[in-house]
Amino acid sequence: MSNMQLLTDYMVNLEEKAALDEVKRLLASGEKARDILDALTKGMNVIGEKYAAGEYFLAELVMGAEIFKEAMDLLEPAMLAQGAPERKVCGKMVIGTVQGDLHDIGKNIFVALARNAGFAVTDLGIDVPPAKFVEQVQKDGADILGMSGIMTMSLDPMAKTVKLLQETGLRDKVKVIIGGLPVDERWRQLVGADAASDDAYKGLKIIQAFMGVK
Amino acid sequence: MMAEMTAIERVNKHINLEQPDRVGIAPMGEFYYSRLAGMTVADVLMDPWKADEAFEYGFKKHGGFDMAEVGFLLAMYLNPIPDMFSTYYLEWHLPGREFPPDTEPNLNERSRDNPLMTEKDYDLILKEGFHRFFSFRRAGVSDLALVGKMVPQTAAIMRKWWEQYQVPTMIDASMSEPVGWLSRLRGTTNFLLDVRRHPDKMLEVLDITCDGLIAAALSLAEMVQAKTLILGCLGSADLWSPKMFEKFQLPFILRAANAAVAAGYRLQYHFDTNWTPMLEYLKELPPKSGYLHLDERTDIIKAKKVLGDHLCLFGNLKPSLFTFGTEEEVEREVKRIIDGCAAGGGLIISAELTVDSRFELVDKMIQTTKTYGVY
Ligand code: B12
Repeated sequence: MSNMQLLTDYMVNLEEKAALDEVKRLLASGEKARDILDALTKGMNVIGEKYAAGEYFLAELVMGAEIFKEAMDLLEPAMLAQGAPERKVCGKMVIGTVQGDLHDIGKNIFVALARNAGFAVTDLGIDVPPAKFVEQVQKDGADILGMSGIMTMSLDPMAKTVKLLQETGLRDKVKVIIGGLPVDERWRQLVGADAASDDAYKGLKIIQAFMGVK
Repeated sequence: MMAEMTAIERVNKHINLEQPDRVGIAPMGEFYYSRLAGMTVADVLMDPWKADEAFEYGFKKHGGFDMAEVGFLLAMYLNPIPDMFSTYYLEWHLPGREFPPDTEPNLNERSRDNPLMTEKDYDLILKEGFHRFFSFRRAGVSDLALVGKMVPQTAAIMRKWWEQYQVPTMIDASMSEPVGWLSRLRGTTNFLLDVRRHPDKMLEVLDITCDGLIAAALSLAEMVQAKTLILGCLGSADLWSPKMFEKFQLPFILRAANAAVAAGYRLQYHFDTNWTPMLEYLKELPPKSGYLHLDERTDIIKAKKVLGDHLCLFGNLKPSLFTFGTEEEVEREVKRIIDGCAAGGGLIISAELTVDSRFELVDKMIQTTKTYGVY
């Protein structure tokens, strides 16, 4: 088994210490940071697939995301030094839980799946006001705006955000997807979003379709 | 036709998995009733009499139903004892305090980077015990005095419903299990990482915390002369695997449930989110010990198949249906649950209503159950 395959396996099996030690060892032995990152990303993809198949759960997604983040901290200096090209991204997304709503467990699942699948995600966290969403979309030049809302009263701030996008002339430049427990086709229409889903994995398929990823 | 049963008789039959005159109906309204009665959330939150006035107004306006909501303010928000929802320990924003008067209380779990409890606090629990870690740091003397006033008021209102109106109360006090409780203090993400990184240590922390929470809950329950305790659990397939549930949560839920039952209490098992893959485990809960509240994420028809001869089922209607739905949708949903789960008894229809639920949709749920749910 190649070293890279070993790293991918540690990632998939969520062996934090082994994975990070392996990253350090590979770096020290002169492997390219870019290749190490690819091996980790491969592992993250498998984690996402296992989640969709019901083998992995939130606990595993969270652990996977944590290991990936720690590994990136080790890789970034090397990537800068090696002048490695940016990680290939299939789309830029800004996301957050809307104003007044503090639930983030479901949103975090969607974010983890999107990151695994190669999206560059700016996660604004919880209780995000409409102006903040719009500002970030503009700043990032985002392709997609994701909004999460788990409570009935979250409809209003979603609609306000879309309205603000229109007023700022950004609506045509960004696809809007909303998600959360009460979200359905009726919400999509009321909010004026492009897509709606109460399932993170279906949401991923939708944003992949937005970006023309099969 | 037999004379109509009292609500107490009907609910007892359901809990004992016997067939009464009709399916039970017991909406959980919290602040829905205050708005219906023209009061603000702040009006009722600190005042059991006002809260009961609002509830009774709604109860009568809907022509009555099978359970009264009496002690939930004390059980959920103003619990003076370390508890999963206590405003004295967690980061709450209350109407009339941090928030405008007519908003729902808001529990902020805190961000990943700024939790109420640090990893070091686990060591404190391990070294010095559960109670060592807690202080009433967020409660002023006036808050605690208020609790002293509310306790006898709540007990008196409870007696009114049980004895005068023959309606059982729904939640009088609460019992927490350690996973939910620690997740609130640490933040869910931090907690999940803690468990994956230090499983053995966390098992010890959970063990000690569980005993502390049981003792705390039983003393409050005694103070308010409770009959039913809410035992909330969030460890479903939305959180972690059946394997992790079995190791880190099931033993503690069983310990808490058995302790409550041994002390003579009935339980509302408040099991939010998706339990469908884990229903088999719930057969280990003490049989006929209360009712199992499932929200819309669990397949209640499957729950009936697995647990039909074990626990009464409760709930399953989606809260947002009552804000955004239609009367036809409500009727269809109620009938679906009755068709799938009513046979032989052991079913109480319910939904957790939000402050913005619409009267006619709530009424549709109640009236459909009362007519379509007759055995
Ligand atoms: C856990 C929880 C909490 C935790 C939140 C912890 C956290 N870090 O998020 C705490 C305890 C802090 C909390 C607080 C409150 N909560 Co709460 N909470 C829940 C609960 C039990 C589970 C939510 C959850 O995490 N589910 C699991 C995840 C995986 O599911 P999900 O969020 O639906 O996400 C999935 C999809 O929707 C989708 N998804 C989510 N976001 C997005 C975004 C996009 C773009 C896409 C594509 C997909 C997507 O992906 C996920 C996986 O498929 C729900 C009940 C329920 N059945 O949902 C109540 C619930 C949401 N809470 C409720 C309430 C009322 C509150 C409180 C006011 C107090 C209280 N009584 O508990 C406060 C309010 C705080 C606030 N202002 O937001 C109500 C909301 C009612 C309403 N108004 O509509 C609910 C429905 C409970 C109820 N039945 O009454 N809560």
